[in-house]
Amino acid sequence: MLNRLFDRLASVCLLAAIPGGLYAVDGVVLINQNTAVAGGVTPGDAPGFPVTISQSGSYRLSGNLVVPDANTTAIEITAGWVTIDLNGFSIIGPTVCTTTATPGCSPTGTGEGIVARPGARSVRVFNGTVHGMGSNGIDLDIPDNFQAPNFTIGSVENVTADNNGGFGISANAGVFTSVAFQNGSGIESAIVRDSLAYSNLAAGITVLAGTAIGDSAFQNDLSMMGNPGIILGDAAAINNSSVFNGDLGFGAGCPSVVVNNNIQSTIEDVATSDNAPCLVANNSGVNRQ
Amino acid sequence: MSYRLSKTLACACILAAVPSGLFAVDGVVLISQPGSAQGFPIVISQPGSYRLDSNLVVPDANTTAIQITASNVNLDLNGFGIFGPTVCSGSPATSCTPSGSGTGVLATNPPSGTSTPGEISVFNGTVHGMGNFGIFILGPGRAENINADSNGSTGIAVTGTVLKCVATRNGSLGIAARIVNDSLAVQNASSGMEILASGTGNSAILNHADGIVVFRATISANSAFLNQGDGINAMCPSIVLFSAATHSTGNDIVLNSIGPDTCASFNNASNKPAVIITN
Repeated sequence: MLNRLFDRLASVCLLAAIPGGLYAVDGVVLINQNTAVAGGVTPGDAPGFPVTISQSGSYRLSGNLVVPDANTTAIEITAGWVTIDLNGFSIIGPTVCTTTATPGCSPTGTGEGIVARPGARSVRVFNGTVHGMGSNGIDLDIPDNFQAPNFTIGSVENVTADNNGGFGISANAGVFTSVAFQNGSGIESAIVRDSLAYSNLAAGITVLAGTAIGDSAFQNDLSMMGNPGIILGDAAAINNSSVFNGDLGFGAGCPSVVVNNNIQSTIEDVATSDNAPCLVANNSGVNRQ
Repeated sequence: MSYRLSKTLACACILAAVPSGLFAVDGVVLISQPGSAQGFPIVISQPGSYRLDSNLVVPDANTTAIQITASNVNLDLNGFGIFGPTVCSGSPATSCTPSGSGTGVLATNPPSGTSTPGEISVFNGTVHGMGNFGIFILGPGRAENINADSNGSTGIAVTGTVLKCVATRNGSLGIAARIVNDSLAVQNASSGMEILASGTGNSAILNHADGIVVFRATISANSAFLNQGDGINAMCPSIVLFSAATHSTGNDIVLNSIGPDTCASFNNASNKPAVIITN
């Protein structure tokens, strides 16, 4: 009798460990290629890509996710408060970007690695790689510019984004200790700290109404299309390095602060715009303006 | 299946189903939504490491979710959220209902034999819709990677340090702490953040009062945009460096000199010249 009870309990326990709708021991929902194909990660998640996250909570990759083409999104978020731990794994698509000969990304498409849809309120993604998506690697930047009552907040930490057709990382709140290389564009956020953007086809780092500290942008826009290494819009940038970018070191919409940065560029170190004053001081380089 | 293997698996399964007080494989104490018998608040009275393994949902605006009464507590929200019923309305927020006495994570009672709680860290999660504070920690506490949204009072109030946090649409201040770095405050009903010692790399956007209030502190490389009071409002003696403030309804940068105390303001950029107020 006791033996049978234990057998039944053990069977139930083993069943609970089957990958579809899998939970880690700490309650986090695990996502891998098998759960993506099976669907049902959250209510309304259809089999196959994208994995739709429709419930607030904590999610973690337990394997790489590989999408079949440049038009396929890997993970889309429609719920309020979501954290995704990439757990050292990667989201992988087929796109490759080249910076030499004929610069560009191919194939391009509509697929994104992780995207926040309307209904998402706060999303944090960390600890992994997004590679080769047809559009943006990570897109947590619903374009409401914090003006709408239900604006989205997105932040990213310890993520590498490469060879994505659009932005490597676009997250409106903050990007920390991340790397974006060889994407259509590098990183876009309000706060960018201790991050690296190189060999992106357009601008390396874009900061709007925020701050850039301790970042490096180099060898972006090598095709000389007029994109700065670092773009600022009403922002403060100190202690960054912007070197060997195509045309411009910094492009600053004023009032912005560009102080204590290492700058070296082909045409102009700091280009300022608008009527309001910018503060440009104590930067290295020849300070062409 | 052998009797011994079945017994082991069954016992492990039963253990894993215990809702709270469970230990993770790494020895951390797991915290779940309490059953009706246990109820809120979940009280942490022993030093140690704790981790949520589910969202916590409190029943009303007067209920505190987690109360910490010990020092040396590390609380990992593990990507989950603490949720209450309060909703703040307006853009930026102007009022929150229902308000109440419930706080998401509360640490105000000093352990026996000490004057203040000490060394309390809360990180990696969300606190949304509490009737009072989102997070309130007295003593040398730390909040990191927290999103505090739509709480009835201040989103994050920590005597110590706030790092990489976001406070949005709370009923009072977004963030109040001695040290605030790399954090964002948006659409809060009062000022975005109040910094009492130092602050670097922060941004305050579209708050109902001032963007950043600097109270006898040093701030460097911050940004204030579209705030409905002043952009950066410094109580002297303070130092305001390398910061950008613009599109404020009031002044972009204000230095309030009280008595003999003066402020230093260097290398800032704004649409409007800094205003010095003397008493």
